[in-house]
Amino acid sequence: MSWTSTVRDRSVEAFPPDRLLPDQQPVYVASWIYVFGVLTIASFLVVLATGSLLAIKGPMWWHTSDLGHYVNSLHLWSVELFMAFMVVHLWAKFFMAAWRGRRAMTWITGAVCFLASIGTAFTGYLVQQNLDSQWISTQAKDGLDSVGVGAYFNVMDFGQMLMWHIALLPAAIGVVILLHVLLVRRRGVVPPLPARAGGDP
Amino acid sequence: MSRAVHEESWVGGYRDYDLVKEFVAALVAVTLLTVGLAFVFGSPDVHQITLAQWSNASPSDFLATAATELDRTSGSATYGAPYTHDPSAAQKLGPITPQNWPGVTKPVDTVNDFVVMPLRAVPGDTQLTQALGTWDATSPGQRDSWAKGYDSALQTASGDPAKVASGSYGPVPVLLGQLLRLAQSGGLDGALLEQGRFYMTDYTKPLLFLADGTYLEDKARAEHLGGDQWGMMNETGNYPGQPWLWLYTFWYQVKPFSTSDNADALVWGLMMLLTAGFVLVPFLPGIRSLPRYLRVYRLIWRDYYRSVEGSRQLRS
Amino acid sequence: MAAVDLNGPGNYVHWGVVQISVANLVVILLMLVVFALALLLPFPGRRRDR
Repeated sequence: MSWTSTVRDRSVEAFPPDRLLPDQQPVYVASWIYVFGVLTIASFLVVLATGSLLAIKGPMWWHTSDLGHYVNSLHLWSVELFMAFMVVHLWAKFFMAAWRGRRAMTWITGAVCFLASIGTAFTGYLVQQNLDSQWISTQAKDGLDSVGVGAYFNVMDFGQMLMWHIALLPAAIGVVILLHVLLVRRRGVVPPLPARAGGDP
Repeated sequence: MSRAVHEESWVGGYRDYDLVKEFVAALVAVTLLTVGLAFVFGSPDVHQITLAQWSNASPSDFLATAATELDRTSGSATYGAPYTHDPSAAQKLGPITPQNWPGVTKPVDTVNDFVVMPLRAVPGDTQLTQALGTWDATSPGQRDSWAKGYDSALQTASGDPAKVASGSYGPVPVLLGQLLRLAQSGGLDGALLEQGRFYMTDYTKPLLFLADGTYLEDKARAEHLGGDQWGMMNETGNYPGQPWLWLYTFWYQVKPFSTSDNADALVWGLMMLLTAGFVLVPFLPGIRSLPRYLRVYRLIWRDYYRSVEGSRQLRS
Repeated sequence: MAAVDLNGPGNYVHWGVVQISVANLVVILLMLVVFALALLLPFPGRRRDR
């Protein structure tokens, strides 16, 4: 057995094609509340795309070009939508107690995504290079310095913050989203909480 | 079947569902929403402040700040880790002071970095050269005494050097006066950033200097960005900000945090705890049972419950 | 440049210790409305048990 065939066989065993991309869902998946996960992912892709457009011309472009400013606006609003959809998705998953049935890791990866997204948005504000950035950096440094983190994560260092914002954090979020979605596919969508006293359906 | 098995995997009915179509629809919807919102509302861009702008708009505040950098009483000079060596300056999180653990990783010497070294680069000013010469030839104790004396005299004179009472200040009035001129000409912005280098991407020093004064804070507070204004959540103008930071900023508004010198450490310590709780909800007794009691799930899965409980009623 | 200019002095709502921008309040309320609508609006779809 080679490493390759082991990886392939284990992957296919864990995620046979019709589990990875099913064309059916359990009958109880019948509420608009279920679309907020995919809306979050779609928003994430638009965030990445608009961020990439900003990267083409660099971090100063949006200050000096109307088109650049519009692209910056695209990036801002896609982020607002991303955060809004993610939080609605989070509310839904909480009220569904979606961690039941060995789905704790699905909740945990989702929570980590949320926290990482907050951090990514934060670094985004830092690299705007305007009054916001000047104020946010000099204020946030106090919180981070007070717990020792600021000594390594310097919010006043534009270069460091830009690289965290466009490279490290998006990559981390991407990986965690992937794990999160794979976990949903592996365990299936969480079934409803048990019906009223009387036992099983 | 036991409840545990029931919760793990569904053995009931399925329905056709097109995930790829759903994803494409979501992508189109988000793209259209983004394009529309960006077109209608745009995005904020309140211009950055330079030291030149600060020193021209508010020379007395600039001078007063520069005086505190020179006598090491400014916020930056008395900060402690990671900028200066002063373990007693660290915020306390109960019995511990994590601020001190990494040590001084970003050393800042406000006297030299913010005042003396930028002035050394100014050419052709004999008065300044003499002042620097006097400064260099004096003991640190004497320098300190001059700087502190001038600082308090300047404060008494409300930041107006013309009104400062006569006293023994050595070369300090000349040094600070020239620093003001350097700042107003725009030379200090570059000097603080470059510090002798060509390329730079780290704005720590100019930002620390800027934040030691009140000009930046005044501008920020005018935009409701101050810490006690729930500022962490806000954006300039009427733009939405970061509503998801509501709990982070909430603690700063209430006692004991709002009146504590250790507010940052306490708030961040508390938030780290609550964050751990958030991540570990599935394991927290009580919290993990809340959905059952809140019964919102009855609304989400109402069709399912209707069919299951309805049919059971028919059976019984 | 934008059709609706959101620059200029921000509008804030004060309620006890709470201070919130109208913009943030609108965002939060919209999210709550969307959440409620998502729960309440019927979801289309054929039921075909297999």
